[in-house]
Amino acid sequence: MERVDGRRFDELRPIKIEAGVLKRADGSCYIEWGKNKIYAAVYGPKKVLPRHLEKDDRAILRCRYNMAPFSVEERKRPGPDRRAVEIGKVMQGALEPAILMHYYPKSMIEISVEVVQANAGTRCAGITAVSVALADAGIPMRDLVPSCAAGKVDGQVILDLAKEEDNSGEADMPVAIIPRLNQITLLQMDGKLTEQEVEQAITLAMQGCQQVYQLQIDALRRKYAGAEYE
Amino acid sequence: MHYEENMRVLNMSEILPLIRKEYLISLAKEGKREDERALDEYRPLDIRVNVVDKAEGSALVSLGGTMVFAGIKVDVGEPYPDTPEDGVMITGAELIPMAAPDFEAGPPGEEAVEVARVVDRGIRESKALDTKALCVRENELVRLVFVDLHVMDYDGNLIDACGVAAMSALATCQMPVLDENDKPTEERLPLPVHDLAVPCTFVKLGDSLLLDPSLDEEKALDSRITVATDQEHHVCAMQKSNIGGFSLEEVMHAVRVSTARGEEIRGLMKEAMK
Amino acid sequence: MIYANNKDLVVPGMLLAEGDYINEDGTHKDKGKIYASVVGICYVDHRKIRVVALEGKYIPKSGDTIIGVVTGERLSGWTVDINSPYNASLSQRDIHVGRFDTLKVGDLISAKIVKVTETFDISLYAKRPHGRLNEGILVEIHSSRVPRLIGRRGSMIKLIKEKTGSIISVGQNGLVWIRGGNEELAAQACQMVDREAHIPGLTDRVSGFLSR
Repeated sequence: MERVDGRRFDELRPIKIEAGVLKRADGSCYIEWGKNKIYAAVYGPKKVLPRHLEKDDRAILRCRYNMAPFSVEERKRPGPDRRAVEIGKVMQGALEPAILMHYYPKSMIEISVEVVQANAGTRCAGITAVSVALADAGIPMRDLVPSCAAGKVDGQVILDLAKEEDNSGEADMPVAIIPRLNQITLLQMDGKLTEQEVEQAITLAMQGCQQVYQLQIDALRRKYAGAEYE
Repeated sequence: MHYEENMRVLNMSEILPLIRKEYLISLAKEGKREDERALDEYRPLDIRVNVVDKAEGSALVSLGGTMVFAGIKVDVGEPYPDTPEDGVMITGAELIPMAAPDFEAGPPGEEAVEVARVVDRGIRESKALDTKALCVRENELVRLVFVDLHVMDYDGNLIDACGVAAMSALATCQMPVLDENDKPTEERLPLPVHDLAVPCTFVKLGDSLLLDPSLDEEKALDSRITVATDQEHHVCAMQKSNIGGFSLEEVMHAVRVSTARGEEIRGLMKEAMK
Repeated sequence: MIYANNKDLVVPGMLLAEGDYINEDGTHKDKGKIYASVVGICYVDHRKIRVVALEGKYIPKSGDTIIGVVTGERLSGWTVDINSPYNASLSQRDIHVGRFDTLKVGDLISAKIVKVTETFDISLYAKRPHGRLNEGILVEIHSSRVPRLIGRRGSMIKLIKEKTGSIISVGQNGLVWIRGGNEELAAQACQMVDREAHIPGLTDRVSGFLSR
């Protein structure tokens, strides 16, 4: 089967990850994933506002996903829509299980993802970038969280759908995992798949996540290359 | 250039410790700044254009640690009734929570609205954008030019960073040519841009005027003034902001410095747009 | 079984050891295996394993000396921002000398953390009158790099003090107050330690910088 950009069925788009790109944020990351260009920032742990959200035994995590008005074909009106709110929520569910939340009772970790150029798969790229930004902020975690989608196009289960494939495809399934725990922490799907295809797609996406995981580790190692205490 | 780019900012609280404010004022009194700049010197300014291919025009500007995207989208719509032959420019700025620990999500606040309006005014009044050339049919259909400013990192002086980003994105914007049914085609045409307006912002610390304030200089400020100039060295927009005042001499000093520095910045913009 | 080498750069989730090892700061244990929790340098000392974080916020500990900013006045004392996820409080009772009315919002103080409760209610004790720091300059560094600024038995900070003639007070929370002598030079030296803390040969570079 020939894909629009000539990739194999199990091949990711080119991915470039850079840790620590923003000055104000406690941790940050820039990711280029195919034609997606996305920034992730982490603030915290910090004081909880509004105060009533405070938990006595753990930190709380707040996630915000936003698209710049010029990031898509048709200008997007500024501010969150229902899609952005939902993505914020599933991102939280994907990332929180990896964070050692009980280390920082009564505090808050704020995460934001800003998409400046979108081309299918922004939530997976966003989660991948946030996870690197969390590590860059020094937040203790069980593991990094890589993310990647699989889907079905022209009857074939394939990895990491590009925009054209997503538009014409039969199904799309974004997945995130905690590799060390072998747990799936993001799973969404739209389209139609048989039981067998579901298993194929999840397996393929998890393999993709393992490749993304390696790129996350490399990005962090690059930032601190040569680090050593006397 | 001695500017120390890696200097950390105090992110801890919005309250600037009093001794920091006193320190910045005492430095300024001697004509010095914490990052070793002269009082009328910009931080390193980096301009990159055509950075977002979904936008018809775009720019990424870094001014010290401040980082801003500008993206242009061109659409068609009805003109305003009082200007039936003019295209419409709509400028918006978002100070997103990514950019600073105290920026809140939600509709633009006072600060964001002021940034967008001052940037808009400089460009509009310089007549940089030929709105008459953006008329498709009088009274009926004109081009709508959306300028969206997306502040990613806030390290002081948003107005100048946003102004340079917006102007650079407009000047390199390629809008789609319309077919006979007013639908956009694949063909592209540059926006009719004939000038490069540049805003220069100063803060007053004690009795000194400091160009391009850093974050803490801005937090310590008594008041702020912005002067936008065009390539003929006309002043095309001004804005005094915050509490505090300026003498006539101070305003004229700001105007003179803005004219000179504006020209240098225009040079950097042209270099980036080559 | 040990998987990490001493002084390895590690990232969260990396397996460091399994079996009969004791996990300390910057690591966590799961089903008998020890993993890194943060980006940092791994230290193996006999059976003890820890990771010194390269980033991260200051977490208050009882006994630490900190520098903070007064952010609020209350009936019985002050709220102090100590550059951490938690505010601290300084009670009038816990100020050594009288004259309680002189601390105000924006003042910088040096204080000792006397108590941190399980839910991070933090009480301070200020030794000098109000612990207020007047004049001088304030520098922020990563709290994780404070040990580097102090140096082995205080060697680094002693070097900077001697070469600049400044009085320097280093808070465990990463705030550094400098007064007198060549304040700017001292501040630059502190920032150099912060920036280059993880690059070998730091003492020589700082010494070279100060002798220039």
